[in-house]
Amino acid sequence: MTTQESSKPSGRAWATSERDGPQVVTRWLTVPGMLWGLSTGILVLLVTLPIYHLVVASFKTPGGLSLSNYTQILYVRRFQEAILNTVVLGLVCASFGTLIGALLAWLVSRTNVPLRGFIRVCVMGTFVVPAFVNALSWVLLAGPNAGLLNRLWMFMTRSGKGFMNIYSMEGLAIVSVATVYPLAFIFMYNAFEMMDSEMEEAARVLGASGARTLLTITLPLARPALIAGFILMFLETIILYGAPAVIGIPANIYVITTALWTLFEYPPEIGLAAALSLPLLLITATLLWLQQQLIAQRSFATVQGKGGRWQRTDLGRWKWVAASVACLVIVVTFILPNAVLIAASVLKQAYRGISLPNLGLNHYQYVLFEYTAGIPSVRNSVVTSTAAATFAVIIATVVAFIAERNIARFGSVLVFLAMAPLVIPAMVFAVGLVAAYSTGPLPLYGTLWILVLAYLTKNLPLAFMNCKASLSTVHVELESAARILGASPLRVLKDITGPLIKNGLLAGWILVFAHSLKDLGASVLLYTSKTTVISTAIMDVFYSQNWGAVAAMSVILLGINAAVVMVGYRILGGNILTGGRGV
Amino acid sequence: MPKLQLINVVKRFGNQTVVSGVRVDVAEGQMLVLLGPSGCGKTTTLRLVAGLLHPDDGSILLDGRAVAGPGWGLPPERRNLAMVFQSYAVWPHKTVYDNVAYGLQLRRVGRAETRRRVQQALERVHMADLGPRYPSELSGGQQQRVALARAIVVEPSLLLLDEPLSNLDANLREQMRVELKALQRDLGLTSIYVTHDQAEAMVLADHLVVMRAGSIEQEGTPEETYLRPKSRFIASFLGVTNLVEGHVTHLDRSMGCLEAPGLGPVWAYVQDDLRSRIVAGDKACISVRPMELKLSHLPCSGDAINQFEGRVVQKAFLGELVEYAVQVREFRWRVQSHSSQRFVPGESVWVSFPHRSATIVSDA
Repeated sequence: MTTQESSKPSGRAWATSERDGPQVVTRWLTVPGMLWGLSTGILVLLVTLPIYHLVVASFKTPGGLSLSNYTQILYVRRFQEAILNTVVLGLVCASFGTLIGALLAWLVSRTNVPLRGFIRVCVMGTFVVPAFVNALSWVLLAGPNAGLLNRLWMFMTRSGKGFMNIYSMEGLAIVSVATVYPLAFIFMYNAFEMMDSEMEEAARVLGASGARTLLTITLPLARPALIAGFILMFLETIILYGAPAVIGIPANIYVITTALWTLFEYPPEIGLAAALSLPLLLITATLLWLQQQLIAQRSFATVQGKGGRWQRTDLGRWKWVAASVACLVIVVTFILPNAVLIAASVLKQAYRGISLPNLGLNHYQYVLFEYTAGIPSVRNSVVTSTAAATFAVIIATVVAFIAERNIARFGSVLVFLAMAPLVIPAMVFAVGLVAAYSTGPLPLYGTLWILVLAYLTKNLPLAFMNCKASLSTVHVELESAARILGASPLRVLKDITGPLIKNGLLAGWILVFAHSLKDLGASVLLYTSKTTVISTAIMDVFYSQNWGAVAAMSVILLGINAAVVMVGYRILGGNILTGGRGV
Repeated sequence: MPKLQLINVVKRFGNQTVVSGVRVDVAEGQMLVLLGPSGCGKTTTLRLVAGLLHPDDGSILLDGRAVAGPGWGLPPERRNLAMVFQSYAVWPHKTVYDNVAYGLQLRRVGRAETRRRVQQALERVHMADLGPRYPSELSGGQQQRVALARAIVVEPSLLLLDEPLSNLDANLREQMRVELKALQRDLGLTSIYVTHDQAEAMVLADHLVVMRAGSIEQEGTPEETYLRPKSRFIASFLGVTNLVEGHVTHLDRSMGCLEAPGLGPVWAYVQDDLRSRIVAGDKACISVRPMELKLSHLPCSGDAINQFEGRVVQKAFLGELVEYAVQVREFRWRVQSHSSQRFVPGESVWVSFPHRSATIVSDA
């Protein structure tokens, strides 16, 4: 029997099932082999290179490699203060954020509190609002004399002074809590959803009161989730840049992220910035690892039980009290700030209040047609976010394909590289990018590319998780069936796999786009006058105290973001709002 | 020439050998059933034939042409096969019509011809009216029919079926079994059918291949395999049986005798290849199906060499049949007899069977 010589080197069947174990590509000169090589190369360039330069820069001093950058960080007073402030702010926000988030989550998911849907949608809505825009709105609300709430207070009590000054540690803490608590809400909501109410019912049947059940059954069961949520809150707070920049800097309260920013004022001190960044990176990596360990714990498995079958706790007379508290939180953190922002953008004279002759679009006219950075910043934002989202989805798809379909050896290396940016704070990564690309063979600093790299890499994990999830819903046999009927691998991709994962990829794209558009922390270190984006342009008009322009540009940013997210919502449903975090 | 030949096919995953030297021929128009417990390598064997995996050793010949050999293989799209999967694998984004038409589009069949053949295939599986529907609007059984229509419409040189009925409920499974067999016979489709369900295998197989731990344990017609198992494993895997353990005391041309502790001598048929492998004194088993045993109040006078007096200890009514447990000294026989014959628990009875109804099998 003669074998067909021509067919011998034909490509391996990449569509295999887990039941049969991995089908591994052993030869490199194959399509999967080359894809693997290419994507590894790209990921190393994207992720590893900036971190490598970050580490090198932290040891670099004019006199050669030394630890002097680190000793400066440790002994200079303003850095000491910044680190202390960061820790204090982190702990305070983690405590209050977890408390508020968990309370709302419990009310919405497990009790019969009225207005559940409304509360949920509003908390989700906060994800559309960038953290720094939220902080700007709060200045409008509670600025020392001009803030709306303070003027209301002065009008009602006829006193000469407002009741709160946002430019203080307390003000910074309040705004930070308002910014981060929705994440705790999502996290706890998912935990409560998974919890089987039969455990609570069992306690009730044995004679425990509602409150006793909450204290002895529900809370202990949710404890690992609460601790994990607390860690998450702490992490989110210490990498927060928006609120500390808008509220902390005028009050002369610096945290690590804003201290990093000051090091980029002329002349930039990359070495110090790197030395301040690395400990932050180590802390976030360690805490995230710790958090994962907690979630993986056995005790949490109870919380992650079968879910689904449960009955809501009847709050009785208390349900309206609970609803009022929840609505107060919503109004204070979501409705009021955004309403003030929108109002400020359409009022000709901010102090004259809402009346027909005082309404106008002059601020919009200013930022769009008179302000030189207006239109270019919008264009830069849209261009960089679009590019970042597109590249992120392409890379994520290839990596997810290799990992999910076992088509190359060492798929796990690729997955690790794609997920690594999860632990890297955006600002830290930006410092690494500056170190890597301001000189050398690729002088990208000062171009839009460096912004694209930052957005793309920082949000790669989001895109990857989305692609992997949607690919895993496509059963391998769907592909095998087409292969056997005569379709080549590329044809299968075009006719079967492509159409089936299209929506998932679109969701990933929208997520990366929205997060890129919201970014301020990385952009503020990477932009130049020619490459300003919306967020940095807003900060510029903020520094020149042009509040009408701040409001108008913020509303434009919110509008673009909300429009894109709405499109996603129409196609994919609720998950899009939460950044793929569930609910 | 056989339609398909597997010659000493070996497949390893890491250092685990999943298929070790499988050698089997499939004749034109035949339905070959690969039967075995999970993990025996039957699905892997099927995927090797499909081209979704390639063998580490041995070769696979389709119509006399090699399609796979050590470390290489034609990709699945160049083998002109069709496959029906356990998960149905009906494409959720295509209508029923488009699912079935896809294989014809790949073969560049004209529009009118496609329409005619798709319609014909859908009629064959009783789905003629459901062409415009999407799979999500269909039941599991209907989806499996679509998968079947999609497979037969391309007139494949070989039809592969990977446990296609195991996700259906019991009644539908039995109905589909009969339909599938009729369809395969009408179209004269050479097929390989993988299953772990012995009843399904019996109904469908022209040729039954029982696999165990990566190799073929026994092959033949379903009747042969059922009535003349070669090993203890086959005897018990293919249905309920009485297994008598003992030592061989006597071997004849076609007959052997086993001395069973706690029961006494039992005579049974012995197959040629087993006779050449065992000698007197070896451990072995005798397998007798419950239906082959006869119960009577008085000892038989006929050709039944094996007769034991015992006591009925249990009775279970199964509809057409009644199953009795009869204790004979230390051995408990399972006997199935027609409902017309009545015995009651506690009653003393004779269990008898001719040696031809029982088979000596290897102890493994």
